[in-house]
Amino acid sequence: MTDHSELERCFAQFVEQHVLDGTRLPIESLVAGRPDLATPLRALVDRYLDLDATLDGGLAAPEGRPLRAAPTVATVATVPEALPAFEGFRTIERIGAGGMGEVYKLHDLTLERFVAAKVLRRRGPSTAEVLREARSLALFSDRRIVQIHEVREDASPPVIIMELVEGFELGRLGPSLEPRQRARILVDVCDAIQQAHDRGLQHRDLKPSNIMLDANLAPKILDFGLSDRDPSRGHLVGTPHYLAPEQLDPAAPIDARTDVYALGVVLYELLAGVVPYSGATAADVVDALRTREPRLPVEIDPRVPEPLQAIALKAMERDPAQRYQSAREMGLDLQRYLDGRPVLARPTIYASTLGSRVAPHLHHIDEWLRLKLVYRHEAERLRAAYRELEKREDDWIVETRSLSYSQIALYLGAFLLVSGSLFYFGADRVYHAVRGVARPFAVLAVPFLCLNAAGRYLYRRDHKAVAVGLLLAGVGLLPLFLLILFHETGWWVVAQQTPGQIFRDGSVSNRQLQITVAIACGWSMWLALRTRTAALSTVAAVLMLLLTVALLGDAGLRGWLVEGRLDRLALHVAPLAAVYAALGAGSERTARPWLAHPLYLGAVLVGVVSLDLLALDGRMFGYVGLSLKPFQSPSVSSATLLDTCVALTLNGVAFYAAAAAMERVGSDLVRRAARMLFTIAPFSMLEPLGYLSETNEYSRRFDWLYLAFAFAIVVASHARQRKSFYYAGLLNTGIALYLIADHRKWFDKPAWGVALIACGLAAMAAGYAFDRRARSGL
Amino acid sequence: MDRQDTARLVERARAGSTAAQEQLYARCAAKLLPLIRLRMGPSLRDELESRDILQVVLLKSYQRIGQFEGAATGSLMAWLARIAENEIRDRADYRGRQRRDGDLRAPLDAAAAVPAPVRSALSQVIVREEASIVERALASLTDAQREVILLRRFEELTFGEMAARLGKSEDACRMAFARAMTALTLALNRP
Repeated sequence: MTDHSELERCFAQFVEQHVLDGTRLPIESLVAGRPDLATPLRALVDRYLDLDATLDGGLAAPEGRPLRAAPTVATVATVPEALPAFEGFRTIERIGAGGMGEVYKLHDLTLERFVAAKVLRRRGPSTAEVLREARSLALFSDRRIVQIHEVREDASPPVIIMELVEGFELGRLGPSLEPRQRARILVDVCDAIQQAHDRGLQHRDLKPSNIMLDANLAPKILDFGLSDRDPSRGHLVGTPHYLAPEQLDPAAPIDARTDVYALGVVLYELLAGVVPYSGATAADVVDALRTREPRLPVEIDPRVPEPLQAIALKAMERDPAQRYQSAREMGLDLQRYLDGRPVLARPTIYASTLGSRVAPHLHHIDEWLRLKLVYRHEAERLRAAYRELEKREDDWIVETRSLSYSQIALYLGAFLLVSGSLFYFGADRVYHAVRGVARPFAVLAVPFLCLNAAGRYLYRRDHKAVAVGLLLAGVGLLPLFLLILFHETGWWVVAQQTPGQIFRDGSVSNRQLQITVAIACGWSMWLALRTRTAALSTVAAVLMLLLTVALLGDAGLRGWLVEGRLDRLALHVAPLAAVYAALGAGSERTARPWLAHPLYLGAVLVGVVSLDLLALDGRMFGYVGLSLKPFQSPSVSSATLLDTCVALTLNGVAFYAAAAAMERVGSDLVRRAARMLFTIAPFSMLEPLGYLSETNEYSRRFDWLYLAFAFAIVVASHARQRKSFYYAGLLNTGIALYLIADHRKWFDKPAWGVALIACGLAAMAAGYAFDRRARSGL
Repeated sequence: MDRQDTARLVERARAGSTAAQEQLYARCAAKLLPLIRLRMGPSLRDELESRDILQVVLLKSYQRIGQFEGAATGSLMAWLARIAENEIRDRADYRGRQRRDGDLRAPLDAAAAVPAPVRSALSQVIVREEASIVERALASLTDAQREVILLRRFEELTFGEMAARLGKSEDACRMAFARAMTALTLALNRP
């Protein structure tokens, strides 16, 4: 293609756009591949625009006036009001009117350039404020913020002379831009706003019409600090769409985060094409802002990139503390999107939107259950699946909705840290006596302090998962350091072989252990309450158990262990189950589910372990003055064999009954603990038979009985639809088969295996028969 | 835009503003004169005659402004252009007759008292060098291209009205106008 026709083609394209859309394509974009054509094209375009203006006024003109001025003459002629005069300038035309006054285009007679003049409408306290800001803005130059040339405060009314900006409003150009271009513009805007914020200047009236773009899509921000500051006046009558919630509340402080909100709305509008809160009147808009959640931009336009949506919604959080804390943070997150890295924004509206949309589903499940469309356990399963959705992304690793590499690395790191310090502790404490606290301080205490400082900082910056990981590692280091500290400083030290101590070698005294665990427990509980995370509350619950054990040291724990009095240990630990349960109920009542859940699980585990310890010890009935010894065959060597077996069985039944009761009357969290108890119960019921077969007391027929019971439980699992029973039954069937073979030395006999294979085939044939019957029954 | 400007001036002129009346006539005259000349075609074109026609049109419009309100078109310029067209046709007919019966038409100035706004507009309107270049460029375009520009920029029609007049779609009119403007600029650009 020749230069000539290529030039004409570009020019035709420009004219077409100008006629069809009324917009002017940038020259640079038209001659993208041919920079050499820019100059001739610009000449053509200038001639065209000249011609266009000439035709406005007709080809003839009143004598004495240059034809070029024809459009201006026409405009002036139709605008009846007189243009104000400014000393040193020629007034060209009025180019707009804003909340604070009218804007004129002027020609600077001395510097031969065009400028804009904003004439403030009235004089008052807010005007004085605007002038003060304009003066400070005049001292500050940023290519992306419109430059103030001069403030004529003494003029009446006051006038601000500033740079004349020509280009396109972001609001008008936005829809034709690529998402990445939009993000890049916003990065620039955020950066400019941050520059102003750093100097204490706030915009407070950011909107797409206040952001102009030049031909290179470089933004320029208008009306900086020139807007009416009184939220009860100018803002509410103007454009309420970009108001932040705190601007509606006279009591709420307005700070830099108010501009962050407006930036969020600008981005939202760029993405979705509509403003987030709309209404027929300003009052409707304000009402929507107060009461409703905006639609997700993705719902309006599926092509909207999710990361940009998240950034917009995060900046638009109602609570300023949940937003980006500065325009810089928002800009950095946008830059992350541009760099192809994952953005940090995780707007709370995702959780609340999910929550509000899950609620009707949960209601449906209740309805299905009522209509008997689903079984109770199915309903429970469905509810559990929905509960998963409500979990926070940054929660503990076993609670989180999805695993991320950062979480894996963090928790692995914390684990290695604690393991390493344990090795260090063991090595230094036992093998080479520590001298002084300097080294432990460097190895344990300094990391502890650093971890906590870093955790605190990151928690504030909203990197919760990382913060909790660091705090968790800190909790692991604390007890070790305290133990060394106590040892080296000689606090609460006891001599070796002191009676009543848990550790006989005198390395750690009971008191040292108690104080250490108490401090660590209190510390982790405090952190758990601050961060509201299940990870730290679980650690606190575990430390509570350790504290109980340490306290039992004074009551003679060592003696019980040496004498094998497990019953005493069990009886002393059992109350902890009640404490856990009570604390769990208390924290659930005060809306702390992340604390209640581990406490409930702790209550169940401590209860189960202490009851089973008591049963295994054989003295369970002794405490209530009973013994089953008279019913025992005299040939049995163990005096408490029957007691143990019956107690274990009763435990199993009690667990099942407790689980059933908890599931019936308990809250959601209690039901989750009940599910664990349901899994434990069948094992506990089968335990005595296994125990009997193992001890080989009584008749050898017990192993057959064990097998029969295990088998019965497998079959009976159908009745209550309990899979935990089925699996417990299968597992115990296997154990029973092993014991039978073991007792009778049948491992050499192929017949045993053949018989089992035959049974298996028979069972499978039965399964096939059931299937046939079920099908024909239909 | 320009058409709205005209409409606003008409409004104020009707309300009795003398200044608006003068502005209106000055504005209309500046567009009508080239329109008349371009529509007359080369044979009739003549500086004196075109100004004559302009004067007649302005006078007639001054007398019949009541008819404009009842006219189907919302564009004052289009209405004036109709009057001018009739006048041009009449004159062409008259020339034909003139050749036959040799009668001369009486000068208009003598025929009626010219109202102040019309006189002022006529005295002010002049055609400058630059404008005549544009006019020559317009004349060099094809008839269709020239007509599109005249309808849009001189008669101040909307694209919808143009579409109705030319029997094309609105978008086709837009495209035709864009092409005509391109051609006009290129014609102007040629040395």
